[in-house]
Amino acid sequence: MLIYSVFKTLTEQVVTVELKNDLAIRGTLKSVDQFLNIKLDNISVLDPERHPHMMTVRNCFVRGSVIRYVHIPKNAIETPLLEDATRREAANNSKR
Amino acid sequence: MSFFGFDARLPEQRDGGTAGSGEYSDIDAKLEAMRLASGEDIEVYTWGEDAYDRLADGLEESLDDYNDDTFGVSTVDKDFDYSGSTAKLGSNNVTQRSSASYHKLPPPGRPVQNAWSAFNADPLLGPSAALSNRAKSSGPSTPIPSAPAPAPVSAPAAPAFRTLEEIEAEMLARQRSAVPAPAPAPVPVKQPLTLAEIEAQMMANARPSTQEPLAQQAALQQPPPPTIQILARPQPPQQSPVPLPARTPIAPDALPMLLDAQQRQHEQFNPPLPAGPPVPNLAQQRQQELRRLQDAALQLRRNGGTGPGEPNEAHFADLVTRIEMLTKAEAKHHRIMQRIDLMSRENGIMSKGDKDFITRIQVSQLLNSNGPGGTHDPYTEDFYYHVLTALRGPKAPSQVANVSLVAQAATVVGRGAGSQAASTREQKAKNNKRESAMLKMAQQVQRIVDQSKKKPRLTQISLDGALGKIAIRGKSAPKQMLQVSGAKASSDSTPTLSTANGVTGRKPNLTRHEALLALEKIYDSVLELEQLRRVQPRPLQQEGPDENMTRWETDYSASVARMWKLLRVNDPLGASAQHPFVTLLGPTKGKRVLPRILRHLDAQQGLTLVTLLIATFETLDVVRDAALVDSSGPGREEAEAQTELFLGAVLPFVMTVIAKAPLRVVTGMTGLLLDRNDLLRLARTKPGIAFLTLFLSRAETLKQSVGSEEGAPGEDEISRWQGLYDTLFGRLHGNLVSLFPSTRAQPFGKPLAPPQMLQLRPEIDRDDEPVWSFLAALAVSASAEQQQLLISEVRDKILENVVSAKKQWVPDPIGELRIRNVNVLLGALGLDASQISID
Repeated sequence: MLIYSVFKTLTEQVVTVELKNDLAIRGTLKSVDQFLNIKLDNISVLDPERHPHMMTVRNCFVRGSVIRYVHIPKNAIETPLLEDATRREAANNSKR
Repeated sequence: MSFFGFDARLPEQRDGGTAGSGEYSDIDAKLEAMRLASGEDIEVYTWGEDAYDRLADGLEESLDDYNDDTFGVSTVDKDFDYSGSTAKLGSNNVTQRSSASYHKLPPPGRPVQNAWSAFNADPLLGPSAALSNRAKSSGPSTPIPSAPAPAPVSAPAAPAFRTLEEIEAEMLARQRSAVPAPAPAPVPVKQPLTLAEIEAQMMANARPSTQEPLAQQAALQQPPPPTIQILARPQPPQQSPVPLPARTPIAPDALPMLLDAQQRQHEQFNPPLPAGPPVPNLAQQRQQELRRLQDAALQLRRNGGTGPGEPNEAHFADLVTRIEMLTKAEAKHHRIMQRIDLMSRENGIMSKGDKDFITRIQVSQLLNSNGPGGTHDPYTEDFYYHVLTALRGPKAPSQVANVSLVAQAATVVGRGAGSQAASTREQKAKNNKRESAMLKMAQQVQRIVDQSKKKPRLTQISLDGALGKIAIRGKSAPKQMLQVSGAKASSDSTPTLSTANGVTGRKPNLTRHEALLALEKIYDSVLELEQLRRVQPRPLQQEGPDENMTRWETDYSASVARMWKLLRVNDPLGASAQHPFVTLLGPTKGKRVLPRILRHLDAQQGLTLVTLLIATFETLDVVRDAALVDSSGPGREEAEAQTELFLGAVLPFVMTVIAKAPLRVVTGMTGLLLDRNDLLRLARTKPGIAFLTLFLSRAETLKQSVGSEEGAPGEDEISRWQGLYDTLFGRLHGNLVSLFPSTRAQPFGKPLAPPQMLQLRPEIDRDDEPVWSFLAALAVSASAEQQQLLISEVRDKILENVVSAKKQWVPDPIGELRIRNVNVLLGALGLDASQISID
């Protein structure tokens, strides 16, 4: 749930979603759910020559399981807090 | 000629097998005619006759003996007997049908039966003997047309093709002829009634009685109320395939029927809903009410027809409106039902597995939100999100705030460390914190400098033009060396921690791995503490002990005690070469967690911690590796980053502790610092300079407060401090210039031209700034003699800075910085850089 929690704070940020089929989409993160499905708005494809069919697509919904990487803006992440959150998560998991 | 039992014979041939021969001869005649017409022989193939060439006899037929064993001799399965089974259906219905359109079709029953009964008699499928028989009788045989007869196929499908009109016409006809309506035959009993049938039934019942209200209306001779119109208007059944309640003719006698139909519709719409009971109940009530009202209205009408009266009219109008309302309600209910029906199409789209999956997620969420401890904690699952939103929330408006505001906020945060928002904001403000701490320190020095300026000092006059004087005289260091040794005695007065310097039986230092492990435990306990802070119950207004509060306090103090133990601050000094706590402070992690730890400590613990820090100052990594900061080799950046981190983490806390400390404690700490550390080495590090400046300025503040404040130090305390100060000054004297990073950074001790120095270390002047502050603090407390010594020592440094700024050997911003730096010290002496004249 930690990563979901992190992604929730990233809404309205511009992210780049790299899919397992090597399609990389850049757009504003509109929403994310527990499966890390992602909704993007105002998207653009990083390599439009290779994916001409994406030219006209303005927004999209990406199933979480097909995502390879998400590039996030560095200043949108509070690193010490993320460290703490990770510790808490680890503590919670070991408690169970 | 039929494989699945279709009767493939021509229709004409069906009626009798006996008539067959006649027809074959008929074909022969036709062939003859064609032959004559074309004038040539038409090839006629015959088998088993004289002309037969017996080719087939060559075929080997001997291995057929066991065919029966292999394939069985039983009769052909009826699994594929489509025609037979459909024909049965047809034979049931079609015979009873009165519709004229079917009359011309031959009754299909018999051919079908023939097809099966005559199966064995079929010329091709039958015994081989039949073949020759038939061939003989038919003469020249042509391929028998194998088109299937239309009748057996189309007849079974017929019921589906009956149009509503047909059905209605049929039923109407039946009613006209006053036949006491037997149930429509073709409809299977189990099937729900079709709308058309319901309608027709209603029509049948309504016909005779609809006349009655109309007649009554005519008799009343008044414009009928709209609902009555609706009630009484007979509608052609074809136009309302779906009888909506408001539109159907509701005649009193037909009402039960109609209601019945409606009920059935509801049941159709909503049969298996388990949550149904309230809805049908409501609907039934409404319908009963409607029926009652309609009955009443009708009654009233009938009565009114005979004797019209005003009160009756009013009553009637009332009834009409109520009926109207109920009808509307009914219509609404119907719409809702339709919608439910529409939605029910999506029923069963999710598989059971999907549902289980969703349920699992929901249950796990429930479990998580009401954790095993029973306390609802939104932070458990969503810690990052919640804290970050709390953190970012208040940040937005202050984004435009300038640096001083941020610094202010940071100090506020430092004090009000309890609240959640503050604690998170503090993390954010960490970067600014060091800035603010340094700023505060500089301000403190500035303040004491200002205060010392206010007091007219005799020495000041003698210092006027001191720089010039000193310049002529040159160095005077050897004389001061005596003062150093002479002041050494005063160090005895410093109260110290027991210096158990037992070289024997030393434990090994904590390894890095151990330290990191211990740090993780500390982090866990800090997180636990912070969590406790978040759930801290609000203090109740009422009198008496607050149970929650006391329990929370117990928890909290127990937690703090655990953490305190983990920190190992109370481990004996000197048990190992490096104190465990110092080792813990080594990694970046350790420095980062320190401010968060300090927040939870009480004053006594805080003091203990600061004392420990001072006692082990030399072994701190930032002091040990301080030489790296001055070098320009590899590792400098890392060392510098660690130093910054340490200052940011420790300095604000030490400041708060020192700011409350009485002179006795300050003296003690400074003594400890001098006692246990190599002062010169320490003074050449940033943390060392910062600590010394803190102590000096605090002591000076306390000294200046003598007589004006309560808790001001007594005479003996001041004299002890003065003794310590003399020791300090004595030790530093002669090496003051080496305190400046800009001096230390010069390779081989040779001065560099300003541009070169800037190239090497562009930030060097900012690094010098704390040293100037320290010297100012030193100068403020110094006696006239000491001041003069101080000036003479750093004179070259002062001049170097002022000259380079005034002659613009350095860029303007740096020049300004240099003038400002110099002025910090000169101000403490009652001078100013502008007074220095340059040749």
